[in-house]
Amino acid sequence: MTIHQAITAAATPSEQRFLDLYASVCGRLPGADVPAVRAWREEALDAFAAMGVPHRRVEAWKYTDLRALMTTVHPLGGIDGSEQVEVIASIGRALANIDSYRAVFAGGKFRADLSTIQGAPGISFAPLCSKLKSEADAGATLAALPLPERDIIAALSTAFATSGALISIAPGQKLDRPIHIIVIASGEANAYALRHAVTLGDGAEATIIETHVGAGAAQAWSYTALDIGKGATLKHARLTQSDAALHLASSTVTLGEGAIYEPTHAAIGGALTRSEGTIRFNGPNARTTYNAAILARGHSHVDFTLVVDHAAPHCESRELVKVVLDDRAKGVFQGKVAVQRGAQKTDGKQMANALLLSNDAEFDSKPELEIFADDVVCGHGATAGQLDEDLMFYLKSRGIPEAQARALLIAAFVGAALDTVDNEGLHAALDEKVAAWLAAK
Amino acid sequence: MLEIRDLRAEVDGKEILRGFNLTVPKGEVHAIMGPNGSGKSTLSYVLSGKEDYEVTGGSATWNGQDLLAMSPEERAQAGVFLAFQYPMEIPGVASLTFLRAAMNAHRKARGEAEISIPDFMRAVKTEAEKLSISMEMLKRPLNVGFSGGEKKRNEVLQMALLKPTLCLLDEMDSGLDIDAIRIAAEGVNRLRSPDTAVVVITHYQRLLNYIVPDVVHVMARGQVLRSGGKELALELEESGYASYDAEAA
Ligand SMILES: Nc1ncnc2c1ncn2[C@@H]1O[C@H](COP(=O)(O)OP(=O)(O)O)[C@@H](O)[C@H]1O
Ligand SMILES: [Mg+2]
Repeated sequence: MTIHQAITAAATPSEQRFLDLYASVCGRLPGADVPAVRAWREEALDAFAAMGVPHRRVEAWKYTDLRALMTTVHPLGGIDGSEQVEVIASIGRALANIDSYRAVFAGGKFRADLSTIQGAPGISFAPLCSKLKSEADAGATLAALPLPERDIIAALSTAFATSGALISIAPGQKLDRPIHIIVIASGEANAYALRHAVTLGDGAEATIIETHVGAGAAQAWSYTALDIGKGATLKHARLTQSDAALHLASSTVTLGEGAIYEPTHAAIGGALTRSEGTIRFNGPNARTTYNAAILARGHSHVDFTLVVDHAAPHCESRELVKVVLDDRAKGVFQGKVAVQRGAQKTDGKQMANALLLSNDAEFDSKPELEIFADDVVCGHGATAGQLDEDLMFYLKSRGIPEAQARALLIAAFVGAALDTVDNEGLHAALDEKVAAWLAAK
Repeated sequence: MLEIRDLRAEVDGKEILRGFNLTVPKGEVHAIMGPNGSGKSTLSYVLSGKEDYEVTGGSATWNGQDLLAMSPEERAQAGVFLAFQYPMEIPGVASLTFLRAAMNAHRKARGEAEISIPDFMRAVKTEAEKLSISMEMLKRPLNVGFSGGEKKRNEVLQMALLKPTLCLLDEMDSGLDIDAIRIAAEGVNRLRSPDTAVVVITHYQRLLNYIVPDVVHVMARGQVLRSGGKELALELEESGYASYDAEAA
């Protein structure tokens, strides 16, 4: 603890708030009396303190000055008591109705009573908190949950984790329906921290849907590690939706040889959403298609930051990001494609398009290519523009009213990213979410 | 009746329509012929309400309704339909979605309930067949990747489903071969009725063999310079527009 104290002594008020929060809850967090758990948390807390709360002079946070944007840290939820939640009311009927194996986390706790994933064929599932009770259990579990480097969100999510989904899908297993991880940050002014880990065995096939909703001014921090085995396929949809909540999410995805990873990320609203991730090719002939959509208005600030790390040759990555911003909303896409030495025949392409519906909206895009191999094809592009007035006129000239014409064009714009979702229920639910967002103005 | 009186309009401060006059009674087909740049497309855009065009004088009414005071969607709901010279491609919006939205907007304006999906599909199928448009094509985004001819037939399909009473056809024949012109023209002819007025804008006489006009007007430099019967179109085909361009200068 001496090193720990040395760091805290230098902390600014921004860091101190988190350190104080930890000091106030550490005795009540899951596994508080298990030394391995305590060490795991404090390693993360020390990493956090060493990095500090990032601000705009930290390159990766240039457009999202967390120090300025996050001026309070709420009390940690998910420790005592249990909150009343209604899944349908929280996430909407269309999403709730998707036929799935469901894992519900509400108020920072796993809710067995609302979940259906327990005992699902081919899926081994446990909530993280259940694995933190004994030294023996914790040792094995936490060894598989290392802390990624230089990841402030992962550090916070680890230090404060009250639960999370630990999912493992056996090699060759092809799931007959998606896994739906539902995270409801329901308390008005609480912070919630979850750490999830998913492994797909070689040749397995699965679809994972994550729905994150935040009520009021909730703060949600999460870190997800996804490991996709050789020849395995993972389709992964992630929807974040809220009005005033703050979401900090980070993920690390690793792909084995020949693996396929197809993520679709959508963020609708939210006071502040930062969703960052790394997709790393560890074996050749793997590919990923990352599609993302941001819909924001009011004073929302949504930041998608992605690193695609081509650490193996012959891999393909595609990124398509569609951003719709109204009022004073701010959207950010930082996309880095890194090609390691020896990752020949890499094919990496990235495109971000923003549709600005107001003069006060702002889109910041930072594409980055870092290439250490010579035989590669990489490219990126970014555009920002307004609704096409000629298209608007064409629709109106057929009798379609202005508002509906706008909605059709905007839905079509984000549809380029969202239409790749092949689960019909999810596709319809996303369409409905977009339509509701459009109609809310 | 379409009545246009001394219509003046400019774009980017440049006057394009310079005192344009035209009267088309219901039940008639009028052709407007003129050289490139004479303002034919501008006229069609001004009548349908495109924002880039500023009307600086004159009037345009359809059955007594002041078109110039209405939004583009209100004009459409009042029966005005412009078949575009260059129909737009709308990525991400399926033709069927677009058609249904347009039909329902018209029905709503008339105080009618939305069309049911089976009724809608039946109506589309019937009209699409007549125009040799496949249903497969209509599931694709509107006009995206369509050939020039397919786009024009798609315009006629929209017209057939929306049943406008004032049809403005801007160079419907451009880029079409004879067979395609015939199919599209037949579509237009099916819409002719005692309550319908049709304005056929064209550079060439050819289309008028299929959509036979009651009156032909020669337009140059933003004005109608001469009007006559359908034989005027043949005369223009012979002599060209050079004399009109010069006269107007
Ligand atoms: N949006 C526009 N911006 C600038 N000039 C235009 C625009 N539309 C038309 N014009 C000009 O107006 C004149 C008439 O054009 P147009 O109406 O397209 O003629 P036509 O259809 O008879 O060929 C041309 O000189 C053209 O360059
Ligand atoms: Mg023209």
